[in-house]
Amino acid sequence: MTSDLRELLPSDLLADEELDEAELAALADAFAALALAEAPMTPSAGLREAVLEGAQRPLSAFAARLARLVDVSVERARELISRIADPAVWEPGVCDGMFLCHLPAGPSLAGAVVGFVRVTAGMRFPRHTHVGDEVVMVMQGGIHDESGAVYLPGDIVPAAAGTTHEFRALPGEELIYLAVVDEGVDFGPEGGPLIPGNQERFA
Amino acid sequence: MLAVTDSNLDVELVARMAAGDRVALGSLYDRYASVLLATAFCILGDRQAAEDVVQDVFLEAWKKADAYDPSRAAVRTWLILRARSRSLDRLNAAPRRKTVYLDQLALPEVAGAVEARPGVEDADRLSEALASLSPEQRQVLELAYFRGMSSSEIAQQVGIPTGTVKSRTRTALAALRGALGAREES
Repeated sequence: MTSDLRELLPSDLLADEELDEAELAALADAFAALALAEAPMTPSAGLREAVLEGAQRPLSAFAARLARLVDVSVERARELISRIADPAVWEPGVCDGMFLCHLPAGPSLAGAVVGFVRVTAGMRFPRHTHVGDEVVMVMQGGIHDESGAVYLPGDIVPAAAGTTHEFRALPGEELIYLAVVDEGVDFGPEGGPLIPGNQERFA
Repeated sequence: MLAVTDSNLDVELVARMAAGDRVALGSLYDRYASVLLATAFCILGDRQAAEDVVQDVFLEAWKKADAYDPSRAAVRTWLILRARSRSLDRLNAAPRRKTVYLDQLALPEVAGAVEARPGVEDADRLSEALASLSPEQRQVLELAYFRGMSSSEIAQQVGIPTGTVKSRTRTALAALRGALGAREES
């Protein structure tokens, strides 16, 4: 929990200063004080429950978000999440250490490739192009994108049609994420296209 | 040696969370969820997205509880700055929404005094510290905090030299640090 405070403070606040740990902590406290001047906002009733449930069943924490992203009911989203633990639903991806579980998504997602993806911790995910717009939600582990950005569980990351990138799964826990990609993904020389219709679907 | 604004209760709660105690997580939530939500909402302008961030930050705290070092950061400070960071990342990941929102640029309505409540037992000292800032100092800090703007972006926004932004920011933070640190001596 005490990742370098420097990463949480604006870099130009720190640029010209030599600060020891105590000074850094005091600076952080001062900066955070601005938040405390804000009028507090009461969270929705279900949020506390969702946090406590997430502590016990981390993947279930994202049921509501999954429901929104793939246009299904929350109950259905929970059921889809429960499949993650079933080895039978996973098929190999374009390289060793990558696995896919295609999902039956709601009607508004016709024409998109929708599924969970697992990537071995620490592994490089091959360069690929998003044929259409993409949205990814990290559910376990993390993504270290070639841009330098790090995405953690809960982060929802859009990418525009035509963009290309590669990334690395963070070390530690296996990376699991949801991907929704209009018209699919092209892995180019490393694996070819993955488009709607060329994979098994689960009813 | 605890960080200046740390609370013994918070340290205790995190220690219990590290041992797997979800009741402690619930208590930490009760203390700070409303603060984190206010910050996330001010940055994102979207309630659902803000609640997602709050959920994510508490779950991150739960997972990292065993790595907590009380001498390095106050629990409350870490939670607030993580919520800010994750909110800004989310904002930056959606460039079209960000442009629209920044155009509105209505900085948050700030309460006159900080309300004392669980998690904010030091409200009086915070109120005094914040009240000691000039409007200009307050403005540069808020643009940095709530909009994640760099000194040069703030300079452009406000119409003053970057050097002025930097010195104003430094002075403002030093004033806050001084006021908050006063407790150590008393």
